[in-house]
Amino acid sequence: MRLAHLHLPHTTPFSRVSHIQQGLTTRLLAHKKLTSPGSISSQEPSNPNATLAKTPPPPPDPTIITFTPNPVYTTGRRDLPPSNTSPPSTSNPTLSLPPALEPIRSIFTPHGNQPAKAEYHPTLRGGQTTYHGPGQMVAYTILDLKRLGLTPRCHIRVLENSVIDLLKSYGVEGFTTEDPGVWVKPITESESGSGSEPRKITAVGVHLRRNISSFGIGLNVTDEPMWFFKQIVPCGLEGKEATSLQGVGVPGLEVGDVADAFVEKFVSRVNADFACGENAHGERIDELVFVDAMLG
Amino acid sequence: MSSVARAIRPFASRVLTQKPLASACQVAPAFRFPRGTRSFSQSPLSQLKKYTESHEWIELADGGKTAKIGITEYAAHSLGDVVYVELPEVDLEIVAGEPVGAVESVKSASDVLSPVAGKVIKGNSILEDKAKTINESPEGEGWIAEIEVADAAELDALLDEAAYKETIDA
Repeated sequence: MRLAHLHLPHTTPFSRVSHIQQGLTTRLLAHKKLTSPGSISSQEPSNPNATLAKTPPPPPDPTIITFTPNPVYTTGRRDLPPSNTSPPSTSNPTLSLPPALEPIRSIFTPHGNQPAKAEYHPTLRGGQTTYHGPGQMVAYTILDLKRLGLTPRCHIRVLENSVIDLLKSYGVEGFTTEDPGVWVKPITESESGSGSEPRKITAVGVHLRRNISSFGIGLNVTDEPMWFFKQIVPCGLEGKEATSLQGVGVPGLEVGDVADAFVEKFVSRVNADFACGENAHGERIDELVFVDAMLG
Repeated sequence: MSSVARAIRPFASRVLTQKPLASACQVAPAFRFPRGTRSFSQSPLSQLKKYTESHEWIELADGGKTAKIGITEYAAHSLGDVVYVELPEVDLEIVAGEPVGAVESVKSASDVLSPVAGKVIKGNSILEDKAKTINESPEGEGWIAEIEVADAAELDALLDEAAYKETIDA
């Protein structure tokens, strides 16, 4: 199958990425509804064989969007009111903040002529509060996990392992801990603080509906996001610090180059790990296409 | 005892699988059996558990007015350790195929879609404190929502156990 890589250059409003992601997810879901035997909304109730016999339209390409948003704090599902099972409204969300962001309300408020330092977007992904912004490479994977033969757990592992492979190519050893995400050991001459405790270099958070994934990872490339991370307790992990590639001795990387390298590692991992050894069979990714950012 | 049960089961399943009865009538035979004879009521009721290709199950309660909804063993296993379950609000009107909750494992939040239309009676409060119950007993104690079913005939279009198993192995 073909994997589309959509890279949004420069920095992008998070709402734009959100909109593109929504469109791609809807397209995959619509296709799934059309072709699933016994699907809930299928108009033909009882005969799955008849549905299968028809030639189904080709499924839309899975897509990876890579981008750098304007400064934005996003919250996960657990930070929403419990009843909220639908996507958040587009009305000004900064008016009501989840408890995790209440202490830093001033960051979301314009002061005089100064615009707000960051935006706030609630999302339906897994995981808790995190930050995205300049100096970071964010990669969202919009895939039909079933078609790729990935279980939800395996998909997370593929994302993490792709980051670890990528870090390795820069000579950095990344690893996973009992806490989610990808971590690295700080280099010794780092600023004062928590000594040799692992630091988080990549956050992971995914949303699934009918095995269609959205959201993904945020990898810190430079130290620019660090100030924003220090304002919160990222992902509910008290006392853990964040770092970046620059922070562990790899300065001067372009986000676009990191994005291309990440996608390459991701493709290899999907094709190599194949359902992480679990009993499923998915399609290989045999072609990578670059999509023009104007599509959105 | 067991020989009685064995004799009954083929009869019950024959009644339920008779094609002309299918659609709207499928629920009815269960309630023609005399009340209080357990061996009679259990076997037909097990037929009233259906599945979706998005890995939810729905089981009609005795009376056919209410049903419990949850995620399947397969889904619970492939999600891994569940850390948080989003329960629906009481009285929420739900549409078939729309979310009635969500199950979050480490970093992956998966929507739970309602197999049929209805109205939420309650969410399973056990899951508020012990989300892991979903892993221990996804098709038992780990049910997610109890709903008032708008039209029990809607279950007919869903997958039975065999058809669901096929979608997993496909």
